[in-house]
Amino acid sequence: MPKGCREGPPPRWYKHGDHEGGYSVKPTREEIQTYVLATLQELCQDWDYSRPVGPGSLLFTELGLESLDAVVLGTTIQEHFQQPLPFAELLSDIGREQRDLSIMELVDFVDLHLNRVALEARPAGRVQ
Amino acid sequence: MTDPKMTGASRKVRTLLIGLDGATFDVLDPLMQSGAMPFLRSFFAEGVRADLRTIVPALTPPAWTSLVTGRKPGQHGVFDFFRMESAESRHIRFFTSHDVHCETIWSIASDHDLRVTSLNYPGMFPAPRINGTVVPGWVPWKQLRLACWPQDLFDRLKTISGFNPRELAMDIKLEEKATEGCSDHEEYAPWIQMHIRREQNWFEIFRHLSAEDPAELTAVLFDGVDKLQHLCWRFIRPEDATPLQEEWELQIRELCIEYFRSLDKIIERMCATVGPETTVLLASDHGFGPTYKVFHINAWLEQKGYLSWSDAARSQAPNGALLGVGQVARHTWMLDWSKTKAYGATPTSNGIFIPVNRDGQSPGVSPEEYESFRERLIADLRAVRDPETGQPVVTGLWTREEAFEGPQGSVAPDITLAFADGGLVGILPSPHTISRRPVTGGAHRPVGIFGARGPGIRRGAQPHEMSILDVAPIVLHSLGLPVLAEMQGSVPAELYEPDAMRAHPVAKAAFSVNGKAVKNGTAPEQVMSSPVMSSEDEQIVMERLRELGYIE
Repeated sequence: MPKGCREGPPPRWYKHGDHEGGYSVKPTREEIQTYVLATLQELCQDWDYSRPVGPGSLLFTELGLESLDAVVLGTTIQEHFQQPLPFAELLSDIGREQRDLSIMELVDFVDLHLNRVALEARPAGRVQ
Repeated sequence: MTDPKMTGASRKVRTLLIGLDGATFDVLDPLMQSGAMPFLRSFFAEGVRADLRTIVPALTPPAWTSLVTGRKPGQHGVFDFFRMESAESRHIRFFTSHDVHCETIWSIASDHDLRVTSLNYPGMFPAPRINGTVVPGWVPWKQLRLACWPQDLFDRLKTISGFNPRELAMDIKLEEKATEGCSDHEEYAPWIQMHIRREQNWFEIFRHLSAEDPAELTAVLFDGVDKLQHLCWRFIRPEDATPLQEEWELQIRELCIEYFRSLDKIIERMCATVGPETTVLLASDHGFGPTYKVFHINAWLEQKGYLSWSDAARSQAPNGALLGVGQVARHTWMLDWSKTKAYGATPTSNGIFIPVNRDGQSPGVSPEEYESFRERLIADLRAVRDPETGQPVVTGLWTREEAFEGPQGSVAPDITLAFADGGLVGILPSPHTISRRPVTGGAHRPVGIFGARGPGIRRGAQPHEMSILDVAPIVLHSLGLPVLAEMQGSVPAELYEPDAMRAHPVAKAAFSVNGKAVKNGTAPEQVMSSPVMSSEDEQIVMERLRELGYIE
């Protein structure tokens, strides 16, 4: 390993997320929902989206997210909770099923992978 | 050099790095000679001018990452706009700052208590918490608030007169247009005008931050150069294409020149803003040239028996996309994995992946036959001839070990290709393996530009071709900081007046990092329940997801 390089992120100068040093206790589902909702509500102000944003709001058809927006939102959520989440596969799933994603479902997904999935059980993206 | 640590009112821009994405002297020289870019002409006359050779592949994310790290992709870990989730994965995701595995000029300056302003550079999302401000490039405008650092920066930027995040940040549909082409000639003018406004928008942010929060290292990337050259090469350099005859074509050419004229004024105002005591560096991530043809890599692999399309791919009607720039990730369902042993996942990297069956149960090539399989594939690729000219189609070919030696190379393509006209591969099903573009486009070339002006910089020097890996060492030296011994570039002595180099010789220092490895995600254990949707809603969802290829 050359000096000045590292095997995996983040480098030492990175201090990502609002909770520097990571969550010492896993967030509750309510905390996840509060964060995701607050983030989207704040963003919607920049988009001049005037309708109420709640758990049932749909990301694509209602909030008008583009595909890359969803990718960036997923990365932001990972940053906040400082935990890699399989968003690429989530997007692949909902694309294949040709459906939308509600904020509630997004919260469920984050909660599922932060709090319930055994992270070591199935590394992401393994060829089946 | 002065003390690199400076605070408060005494702080000023010491080094200004202006990135011109895709800039080439083939375009700039005629513009400078014709009087369209008078400031740039004087800039090079008063300083240094050199060709700048980029890395393999000549592509924006890995090349800019090499520029700011002084390392090749095998060390820094960025190979494409997208990245495999892991060496054994078929899932790809958009690259992020977490994929940059080396120290950057931003982090090094920040670690030395210098302020940094980084505007529009790729690989900066999520924004690193550096000592300064970051507006990352390649972030969609709707998410720009989340991407900026510090967290109140977006609201501060909103106070700038004319600030327009819609035109500032990335729109993947526009990116697609740049490489796939316009469907209607009336789309050209507003698209070019938007890029003129966009560069002005970045300049206004630069000017605001330089006044409110000056940073010793200030860097702005203008990427409209790349976009215009992709889409408008035949207007910018008509000598490379069919002569312009229609009135609207001549108008588009004038508008392209207006873009460069406007950019010249912006660069002039930036240099005036920072003053003569600031070292100004100009650099591009790669060069540019005309492209006439497309090699449909997956169609060719299928023809040779290396790849098999899925039933879903076969049944889908052609959508008119030439390359499939907006279709990446489709390979996850477009391919019959049980019969596929090589595939191109993205049209941007010109890379071929070979799935390897490491567990004895997965599809792909066995580890034992990998080397011989790859050699056979390479021989077949080298044998491909253009039916029109009889000449080899593949003019550059690198194995993963050759192109991406280093600790990050395991997720890079197994084979990387280059073509005579610098073109990109098409990844979608195609009845042809080679097709001619409807009109001449622009594509990347390995040699870009470098320029420098400022204290100690030799006037009128034209050093021999430099490496993009030299830029990070030059930036650090200009800041009065030592160059990391592990960087793969160096500070060419001929850039500086001999007295300046004697007074301030290049200092070198090792740099230790205590990064920690993080496993990269987990597979979902269950499928989410589906909300009820109308057919109209489904249509919208399909449209949105199609952009990245997440749909059938």
